[in-house]
Amino acid sequence: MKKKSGLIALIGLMLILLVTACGQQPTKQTQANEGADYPNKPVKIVAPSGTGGGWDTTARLMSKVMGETKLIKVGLPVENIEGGSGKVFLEGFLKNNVGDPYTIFVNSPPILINTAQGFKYSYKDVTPIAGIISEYDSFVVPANSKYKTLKEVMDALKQNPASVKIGGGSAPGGMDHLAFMAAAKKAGIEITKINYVPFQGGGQVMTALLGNNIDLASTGISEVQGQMQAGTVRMLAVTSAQRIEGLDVPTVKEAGYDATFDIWRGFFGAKDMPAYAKKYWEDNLAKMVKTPEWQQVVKNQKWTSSYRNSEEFTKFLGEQTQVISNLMKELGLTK
Amino acid sequence: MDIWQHLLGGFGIALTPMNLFYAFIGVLIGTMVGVLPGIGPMSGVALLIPVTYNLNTASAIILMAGVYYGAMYGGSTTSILLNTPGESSSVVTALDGYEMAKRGRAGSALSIAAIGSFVAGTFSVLMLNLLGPSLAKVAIRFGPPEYFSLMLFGLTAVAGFAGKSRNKAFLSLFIGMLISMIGTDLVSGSERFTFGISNLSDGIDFIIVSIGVFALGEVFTTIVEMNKGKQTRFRIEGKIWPSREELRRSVGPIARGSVLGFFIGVLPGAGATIASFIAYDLEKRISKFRHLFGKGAIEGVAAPESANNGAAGGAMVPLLTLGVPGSGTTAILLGALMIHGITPGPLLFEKNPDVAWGLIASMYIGNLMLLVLNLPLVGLFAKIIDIPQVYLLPMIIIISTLGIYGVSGNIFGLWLLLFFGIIGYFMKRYDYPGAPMILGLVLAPLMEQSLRQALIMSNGAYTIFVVRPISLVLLLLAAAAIVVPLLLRKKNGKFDQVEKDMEL
Repeated sequence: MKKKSGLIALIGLMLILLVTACGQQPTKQTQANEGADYPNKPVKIVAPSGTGGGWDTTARLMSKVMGETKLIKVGLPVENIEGGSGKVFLEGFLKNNVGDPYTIFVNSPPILINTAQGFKYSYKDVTPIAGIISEYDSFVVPANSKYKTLKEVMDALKQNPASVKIGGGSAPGGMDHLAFMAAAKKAGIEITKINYVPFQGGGQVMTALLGNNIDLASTGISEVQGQMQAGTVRMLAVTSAQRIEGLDVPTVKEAGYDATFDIWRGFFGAKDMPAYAKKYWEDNLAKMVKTPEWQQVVKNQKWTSSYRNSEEFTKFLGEQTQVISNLMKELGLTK
Repeated sequence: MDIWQHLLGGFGIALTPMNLFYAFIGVLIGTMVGVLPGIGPMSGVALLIPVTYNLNTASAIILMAGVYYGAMYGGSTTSILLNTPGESSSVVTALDGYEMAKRGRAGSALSIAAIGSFVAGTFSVLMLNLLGPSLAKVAIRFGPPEYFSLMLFGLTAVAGFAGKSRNKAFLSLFIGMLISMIGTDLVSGSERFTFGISNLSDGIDFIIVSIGVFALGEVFTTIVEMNKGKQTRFRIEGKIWPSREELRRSVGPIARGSVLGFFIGVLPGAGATIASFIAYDLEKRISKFRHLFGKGAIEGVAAPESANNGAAGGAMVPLLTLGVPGSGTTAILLGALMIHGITPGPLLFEKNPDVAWGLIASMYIGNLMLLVLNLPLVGLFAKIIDIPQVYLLPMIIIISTLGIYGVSGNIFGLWLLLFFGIIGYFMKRYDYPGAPMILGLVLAPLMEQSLRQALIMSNGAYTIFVVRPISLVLLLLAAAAIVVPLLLRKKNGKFDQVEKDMEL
């Protein structure tokens, strides 16, 4: 049986590819009841990165659950257009897909960070459809570390900002870096003097932490779970506003520093996408996040469900822009 | 012993008809992925993730791992036949592999590549099986200072890739290092040499450079020569299969390549490409036939092909025992495990023994399948060389562009490919070796990154590289790699002789 379903999936994939090849051009409908039959062909879901990362995973799992639960009957092929944390895709998209209801894309804080770093487009040039999940960063030390609480780390950093080596899976200005600096800033530490060692992604950070090459890692919770279960590391705090279910770890706020860092992910469409298409996606995403299939996905990925409809999502993006650009200004990372 | 019982249990899982089927499909797709330039194991595995949604976890990981190590086998094929590296870890194989093909020994090169891959693949699974956990503990001690010293040692391999002129090799190396500086700098987070072009902000993928310089460079050169009326057509000389002499000469390189590849692969982040470069250089230094390197030496195929397969197995060690990825592809495997509801980590063997041991057992079987699959194909593939070049050249251009476009979905990559093809043509015309450029391109980013990470760790003190013993040893090795050959030549008065050899 398993063999068959694998084959069927493969055939399905081929068919989807065939079908998308036939329907690349966005068609403009001008009838009075426009959108009544939307979508009447596959909708392309773009992950503006390579395969395998967070955007790609979110896009593919969304497409999978929409199909499994039969919420959306047309195919939802995922396409990877990588480059410059989404900048390459966005430049092409804004030029070629004006008002296109048949392409939506996934994004996360980089769409705000890029803008803060001087990229000419922002979330205001596209339509935020809905935010669906969040991941949070965690601050982790080796099991044999002398630091037992986040406060001990912050106190040490207050004494001497270079005394604790902080590692993260991103360049300065990236999410792991900002997550820790947001907390350190609230602790009153001179954040520009902190020794931050950047690594390429969460896997490398964990390796450096396990090898005692850094003292504390700032990295996504999902990267750390396996190590926690094995007792090789200790998680001092998480960057969410409330405690994470099933995780006996205080939030940064509880530790006494009024900071959160939300690595949200959501979907966006073209700026002038038709209202019916926006509503269609907003409604269906709202339905999808309530399905047991999606909740299982969220559980497996150690994500947190954080649905925000278009209006809430847009407002949230405005607030986050403020938070991120303030932080980056202080760190001397903005242009 | 305990592990043998577990392994037996693993074979119980891997040998079910269903999982045998998936292992076979995996290695088959892997071979194809390896053959197609541009589409490397990383994108091959990632593209399969959606297909595995409906499979059980053990089958899914068996399928995906099959693609991973299968690609290491397939990668050599186009390197040898068309001078077009199928993926980055097969760049080195092209040097002597293609020369062998030109001399009518394509079949032999392909067979040795398959045999070497099999030996190294099996060896690395055995090591993973026996030493996995204890090795992983040593591997994570490798921090930024150690990586810097390792990369510096790796750079000394450039000597092995110099053609007639050492200066040209160094120039090529430095150009490669400079190209690697394009893109977003990890340590400062700012963009360098991108001139505001978003397409450059991730840097230039070195598979584009290697396919451009090697494959298209060769195509353009041949076209120009054909226009001058020089018609070259390769023929298969003698038997397809390797001669006894070739087999005998391959034993040492395969053994050394396997061991070297495995241990470099175990280090998270070092990778198959670097392993293949170091293995080639090692053979060139110690071989009796060093004067034949670059002119179709079988050792130059055996060593790197064994090394890259050994490394693929080695990269499984940190993944399975610690739950940290040792390479880009294993990072994707890790993500796939999570989709299946498994939390990768040090407890994988305890909590999901069926997955861990099933995978290990399937790797033994998969390697055998690959050998059986690849050897008969040798006869078929070797005939490609008989195709007249008027048909072959357009084919090379088509598969190169398809591969590059297929992965990035971006036209910009194709312009870069063309650009590096033209560069490759001129490099060939003026006798600049291409391999040092790729070496620089691979090593420089890791080297720069770990240098700066180490200096942040030490608050700017360079002593960090010498007070850490592993780093110190690697630095001494690098120094020895430069100094010892010079001293030996002077002492033996053979200096002139060697120089002359090189000019042959």
